[in-house]
Amino acid sequence: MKKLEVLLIVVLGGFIATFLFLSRDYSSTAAFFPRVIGTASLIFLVLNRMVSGPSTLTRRPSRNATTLSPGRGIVLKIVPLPLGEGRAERRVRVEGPLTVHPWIPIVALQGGYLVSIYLLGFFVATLAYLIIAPIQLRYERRGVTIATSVAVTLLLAGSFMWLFDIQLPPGAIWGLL
Amino acid sequence: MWLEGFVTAFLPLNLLYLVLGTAVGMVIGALPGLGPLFAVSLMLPLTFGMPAATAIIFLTAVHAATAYGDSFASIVINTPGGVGSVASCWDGYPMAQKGQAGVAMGISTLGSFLGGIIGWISLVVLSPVLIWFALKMGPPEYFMVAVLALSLISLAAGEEVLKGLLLGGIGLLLSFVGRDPITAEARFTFGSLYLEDGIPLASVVLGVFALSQVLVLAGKTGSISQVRGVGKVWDGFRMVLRLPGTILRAGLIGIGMGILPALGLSSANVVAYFVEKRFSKHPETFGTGEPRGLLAPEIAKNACIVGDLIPTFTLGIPGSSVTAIFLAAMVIHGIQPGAAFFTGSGALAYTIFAGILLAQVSFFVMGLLFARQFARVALIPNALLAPLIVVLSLIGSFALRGRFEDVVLTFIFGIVGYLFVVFRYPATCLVLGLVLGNLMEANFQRSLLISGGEYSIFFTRPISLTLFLLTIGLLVGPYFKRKRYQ
Repeated sequence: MKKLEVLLIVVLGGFIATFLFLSRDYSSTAAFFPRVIGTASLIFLVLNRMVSGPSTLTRRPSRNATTLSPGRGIVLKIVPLPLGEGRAERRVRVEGPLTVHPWIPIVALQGGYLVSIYLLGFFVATLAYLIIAPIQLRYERRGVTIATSVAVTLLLAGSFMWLFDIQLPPGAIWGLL
Repeated sequence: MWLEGFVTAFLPLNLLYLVLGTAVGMVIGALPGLGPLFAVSLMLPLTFGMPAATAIIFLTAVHAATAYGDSFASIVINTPGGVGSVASCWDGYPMAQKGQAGVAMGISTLGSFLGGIIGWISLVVLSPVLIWFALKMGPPEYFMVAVLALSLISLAAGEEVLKGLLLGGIGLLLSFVGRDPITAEARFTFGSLYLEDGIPLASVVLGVFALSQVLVLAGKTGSISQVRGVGKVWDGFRMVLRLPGTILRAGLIGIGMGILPALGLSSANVVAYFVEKRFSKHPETFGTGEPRGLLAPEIAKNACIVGDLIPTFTLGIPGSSVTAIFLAAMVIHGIQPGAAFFTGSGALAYTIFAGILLAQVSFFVMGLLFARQFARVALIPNALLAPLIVVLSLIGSFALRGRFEDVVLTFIFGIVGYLFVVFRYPATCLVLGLVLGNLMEANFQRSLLISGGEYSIFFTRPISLTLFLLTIGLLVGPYFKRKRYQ
């Protein structure tokens, strides 16, 4: 998670730096506030790292972390060793237990849902997502899952299309067929 | 006139549309991201064939019920029903987690009703005085109001002050994306037409609070409510009646925010929450299921939406996008806003006022009937509920403007919001910055244009100076208080 926090800070810092950089091209009126706020934000970012930097290194793992026991999943970790006699050696080491953060596959499925809304349309994508996502989250009552998926999809599609008169994404792929 | 107004408002046709508007409003409000603006603009075309009074009563019922219904999703699934109910998540959801979703719904139902009544009394009794005050407010005063509200970031940040200030700054920077309010120059758009409209608040809020919450829920088994039960709605009512100070404070904030153009629903609930936290003897309980933390935004929200109507009816000046639609509805139905509304339209004005009151009663009664049923959502298993939240959030984000880019934005902010949760970055500060950025910048630049570049304009006008001193007091006060305590 330490790497993730570093990534977050890099993203936030990059975001602020982009604003400061781009504000050079604007008129003094348009650039005034972005410059002032950008500079202040950058100072807060640096101060925040100076003040809380060491503590985050020892922060305990998130409560969302799931621990897999060695019996359930064995992970091979490739550990680089010091260079010896002009060549790099690599040794394969078996490690466990391992802390895995379940949010990445969930975000991946959400991303897949987003793409499929665009490609296949709201109706098909939502129906598929509502069936797959509970399975991913280890919900075992398949009958309830399927019934809920169908009911919610029909209710949402119906109410948005006919009651609210809002055109939901129809799916880019159907236009090509 | 009043009697005639009430008699007309009680006609069967008006009552039918009142109930219909309330039901539609509650359903739309309960959907994540879809607030009063969406509901009222959606329903406007349906009023074209109605008599004038019926049309306005119907729209008022939709308006009030949507604002109330917005809180359902905030409390039960930590997903803001609209930008006006962001703060309702902060203590409403922890209550739901503690098995008190029903109690929280009770607080929301009675709080929203009382807020609406406070707003209605202001509309009927205090309109002339409030309008006089609102007209004294110029750009320097609005700038100082924004600065005052921004000073709440230090409070919103809790123990993570630097992180809060950082996110407040990021929120402000996000609000600068789009056209400059004075020069109309496109800023930080990278040539994208989509970004020229600015970053949509609802999409950001849905991502930061709703989608991030899905990732948190996915890591937990069971349901949102950690105990098998939702508590009693009546217990929520009792809690509300024990907090007259909160009711008064939040009501005043709601009316004030409603009357002043450009300040509105999105800021009223957030400001009321932090003011209540500031007044509390135990601010550390806020965010953990503190009833006052839920009551204050609920009251402010509904007082604000009625307060918003005051300048619309009395001056013909819409204070927000929703009231601009009300103004359009009035014109379409031949009702003249402004002074003529009171003097030239006979009993119609009183019928509309009576209708606004009945709209509050209507959503209150419906809330009594259905609040507990909505609260039971907190008992649905997380594995089944989390995907539903994703679908509702993304569809809500899309439905507001019909743009797929908004959905992508919600998705991105969902990931960022989750990282905020994990690394304890107070996301509320980001929202405060995003809400207030435009108001602050536009009024700062306007003030300088008026004064010819003299910064003294902010300190030579009485209301502006008072607001400035109030901000200093709010920032420095706790330091001296702590020092004296030590």
